Amino acid sequence: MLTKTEAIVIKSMKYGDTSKIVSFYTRQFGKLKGIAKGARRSDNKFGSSLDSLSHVALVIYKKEHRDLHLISQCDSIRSFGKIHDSIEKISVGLSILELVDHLAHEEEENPVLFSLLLETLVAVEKSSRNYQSFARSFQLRLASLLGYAPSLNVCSVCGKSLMEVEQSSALGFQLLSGAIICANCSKAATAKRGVGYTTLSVPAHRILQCFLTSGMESIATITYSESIGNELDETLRLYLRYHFDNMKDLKSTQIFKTMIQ
Amino acid sequence: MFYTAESIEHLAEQFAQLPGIGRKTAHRLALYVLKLSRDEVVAFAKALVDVKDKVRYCSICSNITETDPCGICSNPKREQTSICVVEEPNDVLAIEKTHEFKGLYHVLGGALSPLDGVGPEDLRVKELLQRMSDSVEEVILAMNPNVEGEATTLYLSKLLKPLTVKVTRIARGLPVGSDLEFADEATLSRALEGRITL
Ligand SMILES: [Zn+2]
Ligand SMILES: [Zn+2]
Repeated sequence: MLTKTEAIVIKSMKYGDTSKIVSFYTRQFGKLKGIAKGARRSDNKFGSSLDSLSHVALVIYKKEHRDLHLISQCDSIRSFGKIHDSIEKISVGLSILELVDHLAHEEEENPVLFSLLLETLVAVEKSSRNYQSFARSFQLRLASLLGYAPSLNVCSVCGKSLMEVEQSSALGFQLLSGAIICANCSKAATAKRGVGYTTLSVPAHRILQCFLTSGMESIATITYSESIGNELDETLRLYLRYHFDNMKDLKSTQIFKTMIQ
Repeated sequence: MFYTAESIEHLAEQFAQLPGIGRKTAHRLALYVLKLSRDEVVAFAKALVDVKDKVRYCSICSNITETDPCGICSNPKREQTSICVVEEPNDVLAIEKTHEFKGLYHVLGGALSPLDGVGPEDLRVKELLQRMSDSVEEVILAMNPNVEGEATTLYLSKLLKPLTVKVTRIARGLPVGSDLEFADEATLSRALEGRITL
Protein backbone atom coordinates (compact mmCIF):
# COMPACT_ATOMS: atom_id res chain seq x y z
CA MET A 1 0.00 0.00 0.00
CA LEU A 2 1.30 3.43 -0.91
CA THR A 3 1.50 5.42 2.31
CA LYS A 4 2.69 8.88 3.21
CA THR A 5 4.23 9.80 6.55
CA GLU A 6 6.55 12.35 8.09
CA ALA A 7 9.93 10.99 9.16
CA ILE A 8 13.40 11.72 10.47
CA VAL A 9 16.22 9.85 8.75
CA ILE A 10 18.24 7.84 11.27
CA LYS A 11 20.86 6.51 8.89
CA SER A 12 21.55 5.33 5.38
CA MET A 13 23.58 2.34 4.42
CA LYS A 14 25.00 1.60 0.98
CA TYR A 15 23.24 -1.31 -0.63
CA GLY A 16 24.30 -3.02 -3.81
CA ASP A 17 25.92 -0.82 -6.41
CA THR A 18 23.66 2.18 -6.40
CA SER A 19 20.99 1.80 -3.74
CA LYS A 20 20.64 2.66 -0.09
CA ILE A 21 18.88 1.05 2.82
CA VAL A 22 17.56 3.80 5.03
CA SER A 23 16.17 3.66 8.55
CA PHE A 24 13.64 6.26 9.55
CA TYR A 25 11.76 7.24 12.63
CA THR A 26 8.30 8.00 11.32
CA ARG A 27 5.40 9.79 12.93
CA GLN A 28 2.93 7.14 11.88
CA PHE A 29 4.76 3.83 12.13
CA GLY A 30 7.67 4.44 14.50
CA LYS A 31 11.02 3.02 13.37
CA LEU A 32 10.93 1.70 9.85
CA LYS A 33 13.38 0.58 7.17
CA GLY A 34 13.17 1.18 3.46
CA ILE A 35 15.17 0.66 0.32
CA ALA A 36 15.87 3.61 -2.00
CA LYS A 37 16.77 2.27 -5.41
CA GLY A 38 19.37 4.22 -7.37
CA ALA A 39 19.86 6.63 -4.47
CA ARG A 40 23.64 6.78 -4.82
CA ARG A 41 23.65 7.89 -8.45
CA SER A 42 24.26 11.57 -9.09
CA ASP A 43 21.00 11.92 -11.01
CA ASN A 44 18.92 10.36 -8.22
CA LYS A 45 15.57 11.82 -7.26
CA PHE A 46 16.21 11.73 -3.53
CA GLY A 47 18.90 14.41 -3.26
CA SER A 48 20.09 14.91 0.30
CA SER A 49 16.78 13.80 1.77
CA LEU A 50 18.14 10.37 2.76
CA ASP A 51 20.98 11.81 4.80
CA SER A 52 20.98 11.28 8.60
CA LEU A 53 19.09 13.99 10.50
CA SER A 54 16.86 15.02 7.58
CA HIS A 55 13.24 15.75 8.34
CA VAL A 56 11.32 14.40 5.37
CA ALA A 57 7.95 13.67 3.81
CA LEU A 58 8.18 9.99 3.02
CA VAL A 59 6.11 8.00 0.55
CA ILE A 60 6.56 4.24 0.77
CA TYR A 61 5.05 1.07 -0.55
CA LYS A 62 4.32 -0.51 2.77
CA LYS A 63 3.82 -4.23 2.78
CA GLU A 64 2.51 -6.19 5.74
CA HIS A 65 4.92 -8.63 7.35
CA ARG A 66 7.92 -7.13 5.59
CA ASP A 67 10.72 -5.43 7.41
CA LEU A 68 12.02 -3.60 4.36
CA HIS A 69 9.72 -1.36 2.34
CA LEU A 70 10.24 0.32 -1.01
CA ILE A 71 10.78 4.06 -0.80
CA SER A 72 8.82 5.70 -3.57
CA GLN A 73 9.48 9.32 -2.74
CA CYS A 74 11.30 11.25 -0.05
CA ASP A 75 11.19 15.03 0.02
CA SER A 76 13.11 17.16 2.42
CA ILE A 77 11.05 19.27 4.81
CA ARG A 78 14.02 20.47 6.81
CA SER A 79 17.63 19.41 6.38
CA PHE A 80 18.98 20.84 9.66
CA GLY A 81 21.82 22.46 7.74
CA LYS A 82 22.97 24.40 10.78
CA ILE A 83 23.55 21.16 12.65
CA HIS A 84 25.96 20.19 9.87
CA ASP A 85 28.03 23.33 10.51
CA SER A 86 29.46 22.24 13.82
CA ILE A 87 30.98 18.98 14.90
CA GLU A 88 29.53 19.39 18.40
CA LYS A 89 26.02 19.74 16.98
CA ILE A 90 26.52 16.81 14.62
CA SER A 91 27.67 14.66 17.56
CA VAL A 92 24.64 15.57 19.65
CA GLY A 93 22.27 15.06 16.71
CA LEU A 94 23.72 11.67 15.84
CA SER A 95 23.84 10.49 19.45
CA ILE A 96 20.12 11.24 19.72
CA LEU A 97 19.40 9.31 16.53
CA GLU A 98 21.46 6.41 17.79
CA LEU A 99 19.37 6.15 20.96
CA VAL A 100 16.19 6.06 18.92
CA ASP A 101 17.74 3.46 16.66
CA HIS A 102 18.68 1.29 19.64
CA LEU A 103 15.71 1.71 21.93
CA ALA A 104 12.65 2.21 19.76
CA HIS A 105 11.00 -0.95 18.48
CA GLU A 106 10.51 -1.62 14.78
CA GLU A 107 7.20 -0.36 13.45
CA GLU A 108 5.72 0.55 16.80
CA GLU A 109 3.88 3.84 16.56
CA ASN A 110 4.81 6.55 19.07
CA PRO A 111 3.88 10.02 17.78
CA VAL A 112 4.92 11.65 21.06
CA LEU A 113 8.42 10.26 20.62
CA PHE A 114 8.45 11.52 17.04
CA SER A 115 7.51 15.01 18.23
CA LEU A 116 10.14 14.92 20.96
CA LEU A 117 12.79 13.89 18.45
CA LEU A 118 11.85 16.64 16.04
CA GLU A 119 11.58 19.26 18.77
CA THR A 120 14.99 18.29 20.17
CA LEU A 121 16.71 18.49 16.77
CA VAL A 122 15.16 21.90 16.14
CA ALA A 123 16.48 23.04 19.52
CA VAL A 124 19.97 21.72 18.76
CA GLU A 125 19.97 23.51 15.42
CA LYS A 126 18.80 26.83 16.87
CA SER A 127 20.90 26.83 19.99
CA SER A 128 24.36 28.30 20.23
CA ARG A 129 25.40 26.56 23.45
CA ASN A 130 24.73 23.69 25.87
CA TYR A 131 24.15 21.16 23.12
CA GLN A 132 24.95 18.33 25.49
CA SER A 133 21.96 19.25 27.65
CA PHE A 134 19.64 18.42 24.77
CA ALA A 135 21.20 14.99 24.40
CA ARG A 136 20.95 14.35 28.14
CA SER A 137 17.39 15.58 28.36
CA PHE A 138 16.50 13.43 25.38
CA GLN A 139 17.88 10.31 27.08
CA LEU A 140 15.71 10.89 30.13
CA ARG A 141 12.57 11.72 28.16
CA LEU A 142 13.02 8.83 25.79
CA ALA A 143 13.28 6.42 28.73
CA SER A 144 10.12 7.97 30.16
CA LEU A 145 8.22 7.69 26.89
CA LEU A 146 9.18 4.05 26.63
CA GLY A 147 7.74 3.36 30.06
CA TYR A 148 10.59 4.07 32.45
CA ALA A 149 9.90 7.52 33.85
CA PRO A 150 11.81 8.14 37.09
CA SER A 151 9.85 9.75 39.96
CA LEU A 152 12.04 12.73 40.67
CA ASN A 153 9.62 14.85 42.67
CA VAL A 154 8.90 12.96 45.90
CA CYS A 155 11.00 10.93 48.29
CA SER A 156 9.98 7.30 47.90
CA VAL A 157 10.57 6.62 51.61
CA CYS A 158 9.02 9.54 53.52
CA GLY A 159 6.85 10.83 50.72
CA LYS A 160 7.97 14.44 51.17
CA SER A 161 8.09 16.68 48.15
CA LEU A 162 11.59 17.21 46.81
CA MET A 163 10.52 20.38 45.05
CA GLU A 164 10.07 22.34 48.26
CA VAL A 165 12.47 20.90 50.81
CA GLU A 166 16.05 22.01 50.25
CA GLN A 167 18.28 18.93 50.28
CA SER A 168 21.31 19.18 52.55
CA SER A 169 23.34 16.42 50.90
CA ALA A 170 23.31 13.88 48.09
CA LEU A 171 20.12 11.96 47.38
CA GLY A 172 19.69 8.28 46.65
CA PHE A 173 18.48 6.94 43.32
CA GLN A 174 17.03 3.44 42.86
CA LEU A 175 17.73 2.66 39.23
CA LEU A 176 15.29 -0.24 39.05
CA SER A 177 12.23 1.63 40.27
CA GLY A 178 13.39 5.10 39.24
CA ALA A 179 12.65 6.23 42.79
CA ILE A 180 14.47 9.01 44.62
CA ILE A 181 15.31 8.86 48.30
CA CYS A 182 15.72 12.25 49.99
CA ALA A 183 18.94 13.27 51.74
CA ASN A 184 17.52 12.53 55.20
CA CYS A 185 16.09 9.14 54.39
CA SER A 186 19.11 8.04 52.40
CA LYS A 187 21.30 8.64 55.48
CA ALA A 188 19.04 6.31 57.45
CA ALA A 189 18.13 3.83 54.77
CA THR A 190 21.52 2.19 54.32
CA ALA A 191 19.84 -1.19 54.25
CA LYS A 192 18.02 -0.21 51.08
CA ARG A 193 21.23 0.25 49.15
CA GLY A 194 22.67 -2.52 47.08
CA VAL A 195 22.25 -3.46 43.47
CA GLY A 196 20.90 -0.65 41.34
CA TYR A 197 21.42 2.01 43.97
CA THR A 198 23.38 5.13 43.17
CA THR A 199 23.70 8.60 44.63
CA LEU A 200 22.75 11.84 42.99
CA SER A 201 24.16 15.23 43.94
CA VAL A 202 21.69 18.01 44.74
CA PRO A 203 22.41 20.00 41.54
CA ALA A 204 22.33 16.88 39.35
CA HIS A 205 18.90 15.98 40.77
CA ARG A 206 17.59 19.50 40.06
CA ILE A 207 18.89 19.41 36.53
CA LEU A 208 17.33 16.01 35.85
CA GLN A 209 13.97 17.39 37.06
CA CYS A 210 14.36 20.25 34.64
CA PHE A 211 15.43 17.93 31.80
CA LEU A 212 12.30 15.87 32.31
CA THR A 213 9.76 18.67 32.49
CA SER A 214 11.09 21.98 31.12
CA GLY A 215 10.76 23.34 27.62
CA MET A 216 13.69 23.33 25.22
CA GLU A 217 14.33 27.02 25.77
CA SER A 218 14.78 26.58 29.52
CA ILE A 219 16.98 23.57 28.97
CA ALA A 220 19.25 25.66 26.76
CA THR A 221 19.79 28.16 29.56
CA ILE A 222 20.79 25.74 32.34
CA THR A 223 24.47 26.02 33.09
CA TYR A 224 26.50 23.56 35.12
CA SER A 225 30.08 22.46 35.61
CA GLU A 226 31.80 19.75 33.64
CA SER A 227 31.86 17.49 36.68
CA ILE A 228 28.07 17.76 37.03
CA GLY A 229 27.87 17.04 33.30
CA ASN A 230 29.90 13.87 33.85
CA GLU A 231 27.72 12.88 36.79
CA LEU A 232 24.60 13.33 34.67
CA ASP A 233 26.10 11.26 31.86
CA GLU A 234 27.06 8.47 34.22
CA THR A 235 23.67 8.44 35.98
CA LEU A 236 21.78 8.40 32.69
CA ARG A 237 24.06 5.71 31.30
CA LEU A 238 23.39 3.49 34.34
CA TYR A 239 19.68 4.22 34.23
CA LEU A 240 19.31 3.33 30.55
CA ARG A 241 21.46 0.23 30.92
CA TYR A 242 19.29 -0.89 33.77
CA HIS A 243 16.11 -0.71 31.74
CA PHE A 244 17.19 -1.49 28.20
CA ASP A 245 19.05 -4.71 27.53
CA ASN A 246 20.64 -3.48 24.34
CA MET A 247 22.29 -0.44 25.90
CA LYS A 248 25.64 -2.15 26.30
CA ASP A 249 28.38 0.43 26.22
CA LEU A 250 27.89 1.89 22.81
CA LYS A 251 31.12 2.22 20.93
CA SER A 252 29.91 5.58 19.74
CA THR A 253 30.09 7.16 23.21
CA GLN A 254 33.88 7.18 22.99
CA ILE A 255 33.79 8.30 19.35
CA PHE A 256 31.58 11.28 20.17
CA LYS A 257 34.00 12.22 22.95
CA THR A 258 37.03 12.22 20.62
CA MET A 259 35.12 14.12 17.96
CA ILE A 260 34.32 17.08 20.20
CA GLN A 261 37.55 17.19 22.19
CA MET B 1 16.29 -21.43 7.37
CA PHE B 2 18.11 -24.65 8.18
CA TYR B 3 19.85 -26.83 5.65
CA THR B 4 20.91 -30.31 6.45
CA ALA B 5 24.30 -29.56 4.88
CA GLU B 6 26.49 -27.76 7.35
CA SER B 7 28.83 -26.50 4.60
CA ILE B 8 26.03 -24.62 2.88
CA GLU B 9 25.13 -23.02 6.18
CA HIS B 10 28.76 -22.13 6.74
CA LEU B 11 29.21 -20.58 3.26
CA ALA B 12 26.00 -18.60 3.65
CA GLU B 13 27.36 -17.19 6.90
CA GLN B 14 30.46 -16.03 5.03
CA PHE B 15 28.38 -14.32 2.34
CA ALA B 16 26.19 -12.70 4.97
CA GLN B 17 29.25 -10.88 6.30
CA LEU B 18 29.55 -8.97 3.02
CA PRO B 19 28.09 -5.45 2.97
CA GLY B 20 24.53 -5.27 1.70
CA ILE B 21 24.01 -9.05 1.77
CA GLY B 22 21.14 -10.27 3.92
CA ARG B 23 20.51 -13.78 5.21
CA LYS B 24 18.21 -14.70 2.34
CA THR B 25 20.55 -13.49 -0.39
CA ALA B 26 23.44 -15.21 1.37
CA HIS B 27 21.60 -18.52 1.20
CA ARG B 28 20.76 -17.97 -2.44
CA LEU B 29 24.41 -17.26 -3.23
CA ALA B 30 25.54 -20.34 -1.33
CA LEU B 31 23.14 -22.51 -3.32
CA TYR B 32 24.35 -20.86 -6.52
CA VAL B 33 27.93 -21.83 -5.67
CA LEU B 34 26.73 -25.41 -5.31
CA LYS B 35 25.53 -25.35 -8.92
CA LEU B 36 28.87 -24.12 -10.32
CA SER B 37 31.45 -26.56 -11.67
CA ARG B 38 34.41 -27.36 -9.45
CA ASP B 39 36.76 -25.38 -11.75
CA GLU B 40 34.57 -22.32 -11.54
CA VAL B 41 34.52 -22.53 -7.77
CA VAL B 42 38.30 -22.91 -7.62
CA ALA B 43 38.76 -19.87 -9.89
CA PHE B 44 36.40 -17.92 -7.65
CA ALA B 45 38.25 -18.94 -4.50
CA LYS B 46 41.59 -18.11 -6.12
CA ALA B 47 40.39 -14.65 -7.13
CA LEU B 48 39.47 -14.03 -3.49
CA VAL B 49 42.84 -15.15 -2.20
CA ASP B 50 44.71 -13.22 -4.93
CA VAL B 51 43.08 -9.97 -3.92
CA LYS B 52 44.24 -10.53 -0.40
CA ASP B 53 47.76 -11.67 -1.36
CA LYS B 54 48.60 -9.30 -4.21
CA VAL B 55 46.70 -6.14 -3.57
CA ARG B 56 47.86 -4.06 -0.67
CA TYR B 57 47.52 -0.57 0.64
CA CYS B 58 50.11 2.00 -0.42
CA SER B 59 52.24 2.66 2.64
CA ILE B 60 52.09 6.40 1.92
CA CYS B 61 48.58 7.24 0.74
CA SER B 62 46.70 4.00 1.63
CA ASN B 63 45.27 3.69 -1.86
CA ILE B 64 44.97 0.13 -3.11
CA THR B 65 47.89 -0.93 -5.27
CA GLU B 66 49.94 -3.91 -6.39
CA THR B 67 53.21 -1.95 -6.03
CA ASP B 68 54.25 -0.06 -2.96
CA PRO B 69 54.42 2.96 -3.04
CA CYS B 70 51.60 3.27 -5.53
CA GLY B 71 51.87 4.72 -9.04
CA ILE B 72 50.77 8.16 -7.91
CA CYS B 73 52.99 8.45 -4.85
CA SER B 74 56.06 7.26 -6.79
CA ASN B 75 55.43 9.58 -9.76
CA PRO B 76 57.88 12.52 -9.54
CA LYS B 77 55.67 14.59 -11.86
CA ARG B 78 52.90 14.82 -9.27
CA GLU B 79 52.92 17.99 -7.21
CA GLN B 80 54.21 17.14 -3.76
CA THR B 81 52.70 20.30 -2.29
CA SER B 82 49.06 19.32 -2.18
CA ILE B 83 47.27 16.32 -0.74
CA CYS B 84 43.68 15.52 -1.56
CA VAL B 85 41.97 13.55 1.23
CA VAL B 86 39.24 11.14 0.15
CA GLU B 87 37.17 8.45 1.81
CA GLU B 88 37.69 5.47 -0.48
CA PRO B 89 39.97 4.27 -3.32
CA ASN B 90 37.02 4.70 -5.71
CA ASP B 91 37.12 8.43 -5.01
CA VAL B 92 40.74 8.58 -6.21
CA LEU B 93 39.60 7.03 -9.48
CA ALA B 94 36.77 9.53 -9.82
CA ILE B 95 39.05 12.52 -9.24
CA GLU B 96 41.78 11.14 -11.51
CA LYS B 97 39.25 10.94 -14.32
CA THR B 98 38.79 14.72 -14.18
CA HIS B 99 42.54 15.30 -14.95
CA GLU B 100 42.08 18.38 -12.79
CA PHE B 101 44.22 17.44 -9.83
CA LYS B 102 47.99 16.97 -10.11
CA GLY B 103 48.87 16.46 -6.46
CA LEU B 104 48.90 13.46 -4.14
CA TYR B 105 46.11 11.63 -2.34
CA HIS B 106 45.34 10.30 1.06
CA VAL B 107 42.70 7.61 1.42
CA LEU B 108 41.09 7.62 4.86
CA GLY B 109 39.30 4.30 4.47
CA GLY B 110 35.85 5.71 5.22
CA ALA B 111 34.24 8.63 7.01
CA LEU B 112 33.44 9.29 10.65
CA SER B 113 30.28 7.36 11.31
CA PRO B 114 29.62 7.00 15.03
CA LEU B 115 26.34 5.15 14.46
CA ASP B 116 28.27 2.40 12.72
CA GLY B 117 30.99 2.50 15.33
CA VAL B 118 33.51 4.15 13.00
CA GLY B 119 35.63 6.71 14.86
CA PRO B 120 38.88 8.54 14.13
CA GLU B 121 40.88 5.50 15.30
CA ASP B 122 39.35 3.39 12.56
CA LEU B 123 40.39 5.81 9.82
CA ARG B 124 43.89 6.67 8.61
CA VAL B 125 43.91 10.00 10.38
CA LYS B 126 47.18 9.60 12.25
CA GLU B 127 48.86 8.64 8.98
CA LEU B 128 47.57 11.83 7.38
CA LEU B 129 48.96 13.97 10.18
CA GLN B 130 52.32 12.21 9.82
CA ARG B 131 52.47 13.32 6.19
CA MET B 132 52.26 16.99 7.12
CA SER B 133 55.82 18.10 6.40
CA ASP B 134 57.07 21.50 5.24
CA SER B 135 56.60 20.59 1.59
CA VAL B 136 52.82 20.19 1.99
CA GLU B 137 51.12 23.53 1.34
CA GLU B 138 47.51 22.58 0.85
CA VAL B 139 45.24 19.82 2.08
CA ILE B 140 42.03 19.45 0.09
CA LEU B 141 39.22 17.67 1.88
CA ALA B 142 37.05 15.84 -0.66
CA MET B 143 34.50 13.94 1.39
CA ASN B 144 31.10 12.72 0.28
CA PRO B 145 28.37 15.36 0.63
CA ASN B 146 26.55 13.83 3.61
CA VAL B 147 26.54 14.08 7.40
CA GLU B 148 29.39 11.60 7.82
CA GLY B 149 31.43 13.50 5.23
CA GLU B 150 30.67 16.81 6.96
CA ALA B 151 31.67 15.43 10.33
CA THR B 152 34.92 14.14 8.85
CA THR B 153 35.67 17.47 7.16
CA LEU B 154 35.05 19.40 10.38
CA TYR B 155 37.07 16.97 12.44
CA LEU B 156 40.08 16.94 10.09
CA SER B 157 40.11 20.70 9.64
CA LYS B 158 40.19 21.07 13.42
CA LEU B 159 43.23 18.81 13.57
CA LEU B 160 45.00 20.33 10.55
CA LYS B 161 44.46 24.04 11.13
CA PRO B 162 47.07 24.42 13.89
CA LEU B 163 49.67 22.94 11.50
CA THR B 164 50.01 26.09 9.33
CA VAL B 165 48.86 24.32 6.21
CA LYS B 166 46.13 25.67 3.97
CA VAL B 167 43.02 23.53 4.45
CA THR B 168 40.35 23.62 1.76
CA ARG B 169 37.24 21.62 0.99
CA ILE B 170 35.79 20.91 -2.41
CA ALA B 171 32.87 23.15 -3.34
CA ARG B 172 29.41 21.98 -2.40
CA GLY B 173 28.32 21.94 -6.03
CA LEU B 174 28.31 18.16 -5.89
CA PRO B 175 24.86 16.68 -6.11
CA VAL B 176 23.93 16.22 -2.49
CA GLY B 177 23.11 12.74 -1.34
CA SER B 178 24.93 11.03 -4.15
CA ASP B 179 28.40 9.63 -3.70
CA LEU B 180 31.51 11.32 -5.00
CA GLU B 181 32.35 8.27 -7.07
CA PHE B 182 29.12 8.74 -9.03
CA ALA B 183 29.62 12.44 -9.73
CA ASP B 184 30.17 13.22 -13.37
CA GLU B 185 33.59 14.55 -14.36
CA ALA B 186 32.46 18.09 -15.17
CA THR B 187 30.75 18.51 -11.81
CA LEU B 188 33.68 17.06 -9.93
CA SER B 189 36.09 19.36 -11.85
CA ARG B 190 34.00 22.37 -10.87
CA ALA B 191 33.94 21.23 -7.26
CA LEU B 192 37.73 20.91 -7.24
CA GLU B 193 38.27 24.28 -8.90
CA GLY B 194 35.88 26.12 -6.65
CA ARG B 195 37.30 24.83 -3.40
CA ILE B 196 36.75 26.81 -0.23
CA THR B 197 39.38 27.61 2.38
CA LEU B 198 38.42 26.42 5.84
ZN1 LIG C 1 12.65 10.97 52.57
ZN1 LIG D 1 50.28 5.99 -2.70
